[in-house]
Amino acid sequence: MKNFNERPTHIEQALMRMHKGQWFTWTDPSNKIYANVRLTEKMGVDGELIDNPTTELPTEKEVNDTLKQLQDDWDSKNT
Amino acid sequence: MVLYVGGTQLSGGISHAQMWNMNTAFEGGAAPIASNWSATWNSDVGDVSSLGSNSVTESSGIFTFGATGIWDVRFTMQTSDNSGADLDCFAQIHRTLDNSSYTAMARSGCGLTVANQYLTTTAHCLLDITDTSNQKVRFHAAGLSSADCYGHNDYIHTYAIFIKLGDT
Repeated sequence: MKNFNERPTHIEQALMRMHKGQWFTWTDPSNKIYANVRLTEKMGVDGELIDNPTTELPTEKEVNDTLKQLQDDWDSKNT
Repeated sequence: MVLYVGGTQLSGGISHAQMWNMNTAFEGGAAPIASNWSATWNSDVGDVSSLGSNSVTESSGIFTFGATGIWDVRFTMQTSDNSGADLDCFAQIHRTLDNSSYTAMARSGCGLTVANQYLTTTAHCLLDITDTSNQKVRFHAAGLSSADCYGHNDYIHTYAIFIKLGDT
């Protein structure tokens, strides 16, 4: 994944915009592809571990669409 | 360097040290940071991330010391803000004495005022760990709201370092 200030190119940059907090994780953080995305069971909120309010993973298309939107937004601001 | 705690000189060299890296970024706060901690990372090509066996272990964001002693604990958080909102962000170290209730004992803040500005802040404390079953720590990324907490598996951005300085 590139620097966050550069044009978004990685699905992690889309995932982190889809919900707040630590709602997703990877089965293999050294291989961050869609097939390795999982929901976290718990999230830390106000000092407590709560059940992840996100209960369904977004589809690969939804993630890619979000990434495309981020890229379009970046392009409109920087080109 | 000679270190003293309560007037007593600490003895011996460093026997335990451990680095934990947060491998995934997120937007908004996490109190505590409960997932995505790694003891290894892609750019680790044999560098020392741990000194001593099981120096500090992690489960659901709770860090357990592998030995009693005087521990140097540092939590560094890197943040950036997409919106340029005026945010006060804090890296916090929370400690429990009973393996249940946590209280904040160290925090370090940074003010995000400009979009796409990276700021790094480190909370730091020395702990006298006398009971490894009940005395633990966890870390909070607080006040982030619309800001990102920057984590990566290729580089070390947001991380914790534990170093045992000597016996309790």
